[in-house]
Amino acid sequence: MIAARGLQKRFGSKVAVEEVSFRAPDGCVTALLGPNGAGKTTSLRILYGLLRPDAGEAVVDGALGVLPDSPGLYARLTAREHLRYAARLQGLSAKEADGRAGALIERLGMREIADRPAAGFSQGERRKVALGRALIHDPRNVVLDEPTNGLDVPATRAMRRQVRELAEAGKCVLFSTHILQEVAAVCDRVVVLARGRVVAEGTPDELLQRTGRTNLEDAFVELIGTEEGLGS
Amino acid sequence: MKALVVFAKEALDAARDRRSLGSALIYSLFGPLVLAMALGAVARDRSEDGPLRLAIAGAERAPSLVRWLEQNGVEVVPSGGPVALSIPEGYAEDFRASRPAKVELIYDASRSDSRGPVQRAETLLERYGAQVTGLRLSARGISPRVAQPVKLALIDRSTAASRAALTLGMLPIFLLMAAFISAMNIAIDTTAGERERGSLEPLLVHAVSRTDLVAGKWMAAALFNALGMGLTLLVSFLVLRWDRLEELDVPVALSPGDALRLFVLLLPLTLFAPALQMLISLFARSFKEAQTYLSLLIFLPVIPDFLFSFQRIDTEPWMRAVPVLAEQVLAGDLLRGQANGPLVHLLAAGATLLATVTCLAVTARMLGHERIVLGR
Repeated sequence: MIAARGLQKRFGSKVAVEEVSFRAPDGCVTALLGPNGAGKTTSLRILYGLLRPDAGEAVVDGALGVLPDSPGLYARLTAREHLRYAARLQGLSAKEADGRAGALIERLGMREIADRPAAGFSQGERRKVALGRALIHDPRNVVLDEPTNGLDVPATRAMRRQVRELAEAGKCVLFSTHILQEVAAVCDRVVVLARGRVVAEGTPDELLQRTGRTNLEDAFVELIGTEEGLGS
Repeated sequence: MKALVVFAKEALDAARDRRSLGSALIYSLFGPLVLAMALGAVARDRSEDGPLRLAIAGAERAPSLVRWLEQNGVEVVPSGGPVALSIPEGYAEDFRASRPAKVELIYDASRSDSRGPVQRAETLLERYGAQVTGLRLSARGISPRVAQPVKLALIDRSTAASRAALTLGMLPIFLLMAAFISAMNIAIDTTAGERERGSLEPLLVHAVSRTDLVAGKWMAAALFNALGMGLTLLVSFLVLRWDRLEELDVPVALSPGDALRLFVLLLPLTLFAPALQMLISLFARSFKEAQTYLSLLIFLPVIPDFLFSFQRIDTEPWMRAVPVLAEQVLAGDLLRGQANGPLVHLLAAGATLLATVTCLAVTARMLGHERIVLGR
């Protein structure tokens, strides 16, 4: 379970997050939907401890795996070495690290790139390694910042499938997106963010009811107040 | 200890970075190469003590002068050489009439190899003139001594050995510079580079302390730095053992024991430099910016030497407790054969290690600052 309570964060005079509270329960995918600049990345960074909020608090019960905004791979290390490094940093023994790395290479379909240096990886391959790194210690909670950003169709579909599988395995999955379609395809719950505030929270059906629309896209646009910064 | 995990990864990553390793290698060979060339020049000077080779234009106008020059160790050559003598028309006439007879010494002052020969030619011509003066005065019944109120004797005490020692004085500079060059790229890559490629954020979300991260990264950089400095020292040592130097009797000795002492003396500095470089890189906005700062930092060890060479500053006790300066002064002492007590060495090493730990502590703290982590 991940919960945000009254988060607030400003950079200088610019308010990035004004009032963000929501709850992401176990066993389901919660989407943090909002246009670019709505405060998604900042909210997530507070949740995974990179930033300190000016007010409010973030609660995560249990281990947390994080797929940040940028995959950030080392060009001269292989996929397997990335996973092993992450495992060792999480405190796993060398043997456990090898085992976990091997298992994730199979599960995420990275066998072909497992022992190649990351310099030549495609966007999708990079994202796979980064996801593997996030899941290396088998965390109960997983936060993904725009995990499908910049991926082609097959890679996007694979990523969405992985996200679903995590929730079906009982984990709490929170991911941010500015793509309307993605919400309908993957998530159980939606937190709609606009200008640093949560403007709606609930299941897609609840949001349709609340806005009186029949189409999820229309409902989001109405909640956010503009189409700008959204993608479909 | 997670610092060791970070160290292993950074060392592996750095070992695979062929381009950085290659440039560090070239740098570490650069110093010894300059040293070899300088010592080669000393050796050549030494071997140039043969006859003065002089081309003479209009030799037929001054047969007695030419003969005298030949008798005094000048080899008359048809052309070439760094200096030439020209005897203009009218020399013989003036000479006979006891008027100052003009001769011209032609040389190119911008050629560094012309200085010695010109000086030698000048001295010879002056001696010839003095001899003729003596003869003329004697012919008029005056003692030649009257015309020589002061007798000047120049005694050049510089020997090949002292010139070689001066050259050897460059060695500490090259070693100190190697300590600021060898791990420069690793220091940048693990800090500013880590942030620029976006791998700092994923790194910080792992359950690992910032102290462990900084310690591991620094250990990797320090290892490569010590190797780089050691390589520079090793190659310099081999250059100084060059057979030709001994053949030409240019006595520059760096005993294996002294080389080892030099390495131990400079070791704290090889630990300090990457700590300082990592701290500075973290403040830089990009990899390139960090590179600019650290390239300037390379000249840090040169500054004291530069000042010393302009102004004779005696080394003061406090200088042996200032990082970088202390290593330089102590390395100079060691090469000149002046022994310093163990306490002096401990003080210098202690000061440098304290500075190292301070840099590392500040770097670890900085990694907790949002502005530094996000690079804003």
